[in-house]
Amino acid sequence: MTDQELVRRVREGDLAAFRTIVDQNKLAVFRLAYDMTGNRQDAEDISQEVFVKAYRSLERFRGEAKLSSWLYRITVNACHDHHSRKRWNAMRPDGQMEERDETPMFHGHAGDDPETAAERTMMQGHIEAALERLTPRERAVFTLRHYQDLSLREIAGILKISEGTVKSMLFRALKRLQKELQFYRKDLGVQRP
Amino acid sequence: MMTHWECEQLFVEALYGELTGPRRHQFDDHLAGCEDCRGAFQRLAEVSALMDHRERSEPTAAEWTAFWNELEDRLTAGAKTETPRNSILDRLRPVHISWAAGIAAVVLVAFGIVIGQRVGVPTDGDLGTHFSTAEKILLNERALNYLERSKVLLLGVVNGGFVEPTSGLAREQEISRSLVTEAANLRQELTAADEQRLKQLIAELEVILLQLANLEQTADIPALEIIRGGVERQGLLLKINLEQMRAQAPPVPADTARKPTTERKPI
Repeated sequence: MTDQELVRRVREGDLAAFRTIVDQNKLAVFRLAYDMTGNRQDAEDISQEVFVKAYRSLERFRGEAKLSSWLYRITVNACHDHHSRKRWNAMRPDGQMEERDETPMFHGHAGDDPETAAERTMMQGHIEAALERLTPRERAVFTLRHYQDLSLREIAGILKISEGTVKSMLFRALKRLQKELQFYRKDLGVQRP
Repeated sequence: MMTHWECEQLFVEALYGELTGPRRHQFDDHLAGCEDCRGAFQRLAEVSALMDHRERSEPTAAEWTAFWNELEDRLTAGAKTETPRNSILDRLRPVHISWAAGIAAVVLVAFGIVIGQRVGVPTDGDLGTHFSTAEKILLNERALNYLERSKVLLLGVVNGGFVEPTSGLAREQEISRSLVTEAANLRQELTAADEQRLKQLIAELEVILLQLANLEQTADIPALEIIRGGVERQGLLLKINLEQMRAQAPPVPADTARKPTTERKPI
C-alpha cells in the first residue's frame, strides 16, 4: 500500500492503517531520536510524541514529500524542543538540576575478553561525549547524513535549509568530532577495539 | 586546476559518495598531487569510520508492542499532544519569561530612581557616601539590566530553530549594537574588586554581541551557527543566570562573614 493510500485510510478513521505507518517508520524515528538525544528513554518518549503529533496533523500532510521525510522533520523538531526544554529547566534558578545518568552502558560482546569489552565501552562513551559537543543543528545534520543515510538534498528538504548550509554544517560537525576524538587517530598508534 | 579551498569544499560530498562525474575526477587529481589535502581528507574519513562504531540498544519486540499499546491508548483517549508540564511557569516559553523578567527589571530600576529622588536629603557629611552608594546601586542595576537584555537576545538566537534569517535578524542586530555600546561604558565604570567577575562576563558577552551585530544581512547561517556554538560552549546563559542569582542573594552580615579560624603567628 502506498503512503497516499495509507494516509487516506487513516483520515477515514482506520487506526490499523496508522499502525502500518507506525510499524514502517518506528525504528527510523526511534533511531533518529536516539542519535539526537543520546538517551534511550528520551528517544522512546520523543517517538511517542512524534506519532501522536503525526496522527493529529495528518490532515496537513499534503503528500509533496515522502511520509518518512515528514516524520523525520517532526522528529527533529521534537528533539530540538526537548533539548531547549532541558536546557531551560537546567538554567531555571528554581528548577531542579536533572540527574544525568553517568553509568556507562556496557558494550561488550559475547566472546569479548574483559579488556576488549572495557575498551569498547570506553570508546562508546567517547563517541557519545563527542556527539554531545555538537550543537543541536550540527547533530541533526550529522545524524541524518551519517546514521540515517539521507542525501544532502533530502536533509536540506527536511530541515528547510539550503544544501550549501547542510554541507557547511556537516563539515563543521565532522571537524569538531575529529577534534574531540583525535586521540583515536591511527597515526598516533591508538588502536580501536 | 583546483585550489586547496575548492578541494576542501568537496570533502563532505566525496566522503558520503555524493561526488560524481568530472568533479570527482578533479577532486581525485588534486588529492593525488596534494599531500596536505590528502592528509586532511584521510583524517576526516577516519573520524567518519570511527563514528560507524557507535552502538545503540533498540527496543525488543515486546517493548515495541508496549509502545504501540501506549500510543493506541493516547490516540483513542484523545490525550494531549503536548508533553504534560507541571506548572504555569513551565507552560510559558523561556523567551516569554525572560521578557517579563526584563520588563520587571526596568520597572524596578525606574521605581528605584523615583524613590531615590523623593526620599531623604542627605546631610553634608553624608553626601559623599550616599552619592557613591547610589551610584553603585545604579551601576549594578544597569549591569543587571544589560545581562537580562543580553540573555533575552541570546535565548532568541540560540533557540532560533532552523529558519534561515533572511530578514529576521535586523532587530536583533540593532539591539546587539546598543548592548555593545552599553558594554563598553559598563566595563569602564566597573572598577571595584568585587565587580571584576561581572566585568569579565560583560566582556565575554560583548564579543558574541559584536559578532551578532556584524552578521551579514543575507542568510549568514554559518556565522550564526558559530555564534550559537560560542554561546553554548562558553556557557554564557548559565553564567548570566548565576550572576543574576548572586545579585538577588541577601548580603552576608558583617559579623557572620568568614573569619580565619586561627590567627597567624608572626615568624
